[in-house]
Amino acid sequence: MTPPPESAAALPAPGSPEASGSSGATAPAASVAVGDLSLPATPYDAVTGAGPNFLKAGSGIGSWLLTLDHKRIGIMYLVCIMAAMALGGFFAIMFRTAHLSPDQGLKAGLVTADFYNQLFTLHGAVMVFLVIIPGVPASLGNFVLPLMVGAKDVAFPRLNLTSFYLWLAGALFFVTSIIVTGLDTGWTFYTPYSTRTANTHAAVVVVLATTGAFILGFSSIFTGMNFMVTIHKLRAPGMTWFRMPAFLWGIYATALIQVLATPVLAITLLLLIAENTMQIGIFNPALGGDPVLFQHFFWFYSHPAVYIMILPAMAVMSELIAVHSHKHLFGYKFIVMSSVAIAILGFLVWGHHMFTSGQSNLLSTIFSALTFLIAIPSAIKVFNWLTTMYKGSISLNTPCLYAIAFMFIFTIGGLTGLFLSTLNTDIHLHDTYFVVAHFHYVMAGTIFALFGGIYHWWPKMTGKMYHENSGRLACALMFIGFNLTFLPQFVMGSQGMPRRYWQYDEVFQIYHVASTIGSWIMGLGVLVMFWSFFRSLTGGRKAPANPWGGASMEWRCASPPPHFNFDETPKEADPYAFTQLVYDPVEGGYIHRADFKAGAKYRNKTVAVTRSAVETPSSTEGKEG
Amino acid sequence: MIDLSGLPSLLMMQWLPEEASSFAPDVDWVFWFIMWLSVFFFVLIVALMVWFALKYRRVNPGDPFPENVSSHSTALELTWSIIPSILILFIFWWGFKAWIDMYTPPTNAEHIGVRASKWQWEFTYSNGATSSTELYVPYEKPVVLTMRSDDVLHAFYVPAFRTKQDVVPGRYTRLWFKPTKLTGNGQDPYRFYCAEYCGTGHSIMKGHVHVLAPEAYKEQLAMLASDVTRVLVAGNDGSMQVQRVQAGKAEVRGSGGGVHGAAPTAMRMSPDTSWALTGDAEGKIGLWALTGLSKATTAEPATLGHGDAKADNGVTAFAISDRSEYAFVGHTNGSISAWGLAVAGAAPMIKQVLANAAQQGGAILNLELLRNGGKDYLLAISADGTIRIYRLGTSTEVSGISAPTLEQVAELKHTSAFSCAGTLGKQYILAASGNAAALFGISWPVNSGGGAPAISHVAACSFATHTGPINTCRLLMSSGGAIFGVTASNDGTFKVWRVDVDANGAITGATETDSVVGTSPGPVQVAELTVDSRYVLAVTAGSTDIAVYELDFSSGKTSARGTIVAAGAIGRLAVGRGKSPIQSGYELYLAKCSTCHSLEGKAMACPPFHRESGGLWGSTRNVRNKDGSTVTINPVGEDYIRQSILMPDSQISDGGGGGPWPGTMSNFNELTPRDIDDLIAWFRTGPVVPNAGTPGTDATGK
Repeated sequence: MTPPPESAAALPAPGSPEASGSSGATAPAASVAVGDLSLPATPYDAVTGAGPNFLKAGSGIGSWLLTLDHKRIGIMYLVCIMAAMALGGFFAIMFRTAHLSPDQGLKAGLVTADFYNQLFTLHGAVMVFLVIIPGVPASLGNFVLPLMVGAKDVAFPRLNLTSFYLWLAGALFFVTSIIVTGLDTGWTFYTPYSTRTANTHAAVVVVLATTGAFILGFSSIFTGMNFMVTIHKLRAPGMTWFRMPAFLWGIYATALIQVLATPVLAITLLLLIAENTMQIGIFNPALGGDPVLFQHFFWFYSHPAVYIMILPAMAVMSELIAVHSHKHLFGYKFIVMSSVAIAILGFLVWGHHMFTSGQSNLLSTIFSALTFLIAIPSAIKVFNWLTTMYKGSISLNTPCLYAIAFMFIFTIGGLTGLFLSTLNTDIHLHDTYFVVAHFHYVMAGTIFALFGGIYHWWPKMTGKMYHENSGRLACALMFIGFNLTFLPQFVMGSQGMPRRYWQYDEVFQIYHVASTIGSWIMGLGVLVMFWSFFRSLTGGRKAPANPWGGASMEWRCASPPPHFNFDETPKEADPYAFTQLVYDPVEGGYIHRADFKAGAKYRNKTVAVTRSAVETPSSTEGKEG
Repeated sequence: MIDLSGLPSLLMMQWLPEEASSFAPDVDWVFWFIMWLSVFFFVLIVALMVWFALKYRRVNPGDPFPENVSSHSTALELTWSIIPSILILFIFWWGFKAWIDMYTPPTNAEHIGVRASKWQWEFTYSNGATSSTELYVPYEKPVVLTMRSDDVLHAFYVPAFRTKQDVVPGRYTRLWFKPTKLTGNGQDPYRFYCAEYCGTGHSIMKGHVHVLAPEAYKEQLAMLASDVTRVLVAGNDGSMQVQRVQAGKAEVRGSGGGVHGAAPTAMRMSPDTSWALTGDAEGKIGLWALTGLSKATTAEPATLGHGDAKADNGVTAFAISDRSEYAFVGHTNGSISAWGLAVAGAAPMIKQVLANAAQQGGAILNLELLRNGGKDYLLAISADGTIRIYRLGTSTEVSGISAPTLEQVAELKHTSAFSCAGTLGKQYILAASGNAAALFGISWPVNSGGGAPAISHVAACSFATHTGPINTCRLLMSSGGAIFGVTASNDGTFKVWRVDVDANGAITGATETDSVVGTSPGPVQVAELTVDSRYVLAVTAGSTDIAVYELDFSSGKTSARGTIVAAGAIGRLAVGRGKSPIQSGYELYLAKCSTCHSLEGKAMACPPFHRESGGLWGSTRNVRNKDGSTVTINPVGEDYIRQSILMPDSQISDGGGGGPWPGTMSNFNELTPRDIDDLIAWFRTGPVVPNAGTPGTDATGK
């Protein structure tokens, strides 16, 4: 964003003696208990009458570790998820680098076959269970959702913290057990390999890792439940279901899947543990079980889980596209209903992972048809986003570039899904690099949406603006690197390169080399992104309440928001009614037209709300109208 | 370094692999249809997106917001819901229709059994022959693979055929295809892969599909059934790998280790090649099961099992009895110990019976068991230049396991010490002293009743051959009776010699016919050389490659036939040549049946097997039961053949016409169940007449 022009310097800056003087009094330094939540004993802000921003509401490590504030929990999630992502990415770069050469002898020194198998298991398990599944909902969702519904917090703040610690415990347990025991089953734990690997302590390995996934699953269930209740019960007055931001619909649809599907994973993992420890034949044919049954169980969770991963990304996208196009989201009802349709259909397509598994032909036929159906809601979303951009006023800033990158990548991910839902082409492409490329195009879409969302809400979270050009550079590097990594994989996959191959035929080398170089560029992009975050935190310009011109509620509180988000329950207006906003050059952000007219001292929504509550109660009505 | 030849086809969007099955064109049509449809939508979406992003770009934050723009259009929503719906319905239907064919094999198919295990494939053909890394299929004929797994999930995938099927333990899965393009003549064989992750060796679980014309396919199956050679490769680290060689191509069949810390100093495969002995300088002896070699239908283990034993002295040579009852072990101190064997059971065992059955000077270089006039002899050659022949005496038994004693019957002391020796049958010995080699002959009394054999040095045939010490000597004989000697030396070469013999079989001279430099450049040493009929396997010390040469019996020249790659640096090789069940079955036919039953339609005393019209297997026979009633057997299969051999009078056959035939066949109860299995395996082949050149060409003289 451009800095405030010099000409505006006549207007008093926020926090200047002139501005604060008008309040005249300092609020008492008292601890105020609201329901379950105790507010730290920090003086209220002299100007606003609100508490200090949530980052300052309490200090010391304990105030973070034991916080019940959804914003702090969201940020803790974000930090941990980004750390997990860096770890997962590091594993990927390791095995991609080993793939520079097809030669077994050369590779054996760097990455042996077993080590390679462990690396891709770690990469998949970390990225799926620790990064993409919790990614958007637990971090951005936690931070933004209560703000968007206009609530003080989620419905069950303690459960929310419990979710976080379950996630953390599950994550540590999961990664440690995989690394220590050298699990090499792939993230899918397919039986009977997972119950009889080369390791003599195979049973222990799998039991440990699945216990980790089990704990992570409960974190996911609790978060989903919490969000559902929050959306049902804590919406601001006037916020009907169809006046909710599309983001909330996406998170709601995700929560629905989390709550309904994750228990199946838990049951499956328990059965696996029972088989491994008590030798009860469930999946292992040697004990009289059926390995294909495991695949059914596993994908009954894991396919909906794909939508746990992509629906929040689509939810973020709807916000990014609308806000940065400064235009009402096109086809709102179709977008939100397609989220619900995807959530429901997502439960009915798991068998498309199993066309070659030996399941019955009738099942394969039905699953193929249902899988095609799910393409329609996804297409509806893409076309609606596109139409939202049409005749918009599009800011090509970092979040918007990520949104554009998402559309590019997700379109490829979606279209290549057609090859895989078609029965006869899937037989050829199944378990090749084509599938690997396809799901990375979809899943990395989630990552691009997550990054876009982070930049989008970064000013809100940290109160700091980020440096636009380093953000753009990171996005460009990741976009180029990503496509260079995975486009060649479509080609070699359709040529017959099977996945999870440590050693490969020389004809595929050119694609592997391109892919490896791409992964390095992507890794560089992530480093640049972290650099841009670091720069923002250390020297970023102070963020206005509404830097982009968003109309949903999170943009009405200060950046960063106070501990309780809003001083009084905000009233809902259309979350995409951007035209009521106007750019305030002094603030460096957008404010309500009414505030703008009200004068220079009402630059911040919260300031305005508070002040109007104290001095001119009637002005609040005008703004909300 | 990187192959860029695929780039043009990539740019033309024509990168799919060879279309080599009847499904491939269908799959490719659907693939490219979806591809171009996707390209259309992708370009449409991205172009609009980029165009909008640039055209409606917001330059200043203060720019006005778009006003009065529509945010909803039911007509548009319906358009972009309904058009894609119609398109995907069409794609679904198209893919479904073609896919159903992939699951409907025709009835006239060729059936091949597939067994997957970590980490190899085994294909079993209709004649009982097997192969592993190479799959052979007939051209333009439907092929049904019936697949099972021994351990975890695998998947059989042939990109050129566009088909794939998981192999699931605990159930049979099926895959069929019709190959539509021949391999050979410029077309490389198609690759097949394991496509379902199965652990450490997942990415090496692959091979080639050869599509052969019907005649070539039939020949190939017969060859697979008859030509079975095993190579046991010991690594410098004591690891073991067994490879199966056919037609110069090798397949890894199993690996193991854990007995020796370094390369063994002696290795020997059992006569039926189903197991092997290895010994090292510390006297440790490994007994390795290579089961299933001579019985193609039996499971082969993924790893070699072993039973350990320890001798008093370092081991330098082995001799193993024909039926694997006992073995003699030669030692560094010149002693020969006798060992009892129990290899048939689940826990193979070797146990020393006589620690010092005989004593010679110098380390024992070679031990060979010979048979003459119904008596068994042991030929022992030791490093000090002694060649002795012992007669095997009465068996000594120790706790249920026994081995014979030795009684010396002949001896020759050569003027110089030996560095290595090789033998051929009971007649010829090639031994080396330093750079030179010499030939020896053994003459056996014509009267089988008595008299000792005599060993003689063929004076005319001592030849200086190499510029460095010779480390291996071998003799081999062609099916036509030509004898060749091979000497390998530390000078980095091996030489082939034609050994001339007179009408009585006495050696008259030797001529060098070929000299071959080792595969690696520089000062190399041929560490080990083993001979298997027409193939010569050579290893350069420390190398991981076994070079395979084929010997032309008329010219005596060798030509390179590729390499066998071992898991690591090779320490030593043992080669065995096993009979396949088909070969054994054919030999049983020759011994037991051929005097009455002809193969072709020629009428002898009993009904012919009518090989010209498909043979007995699968044919129709009208038979008469004991009570006089008649019944038709269609098709003739295993049960009927088994019954006809063991209880010939239970159902009397009309022999497929051409009778009447005199009387009823007497039963053949002397055949063991395994003999009958072998006969049946042979009957199933049509029956084939296996390559007549196989017997008698074995380097070990059997």
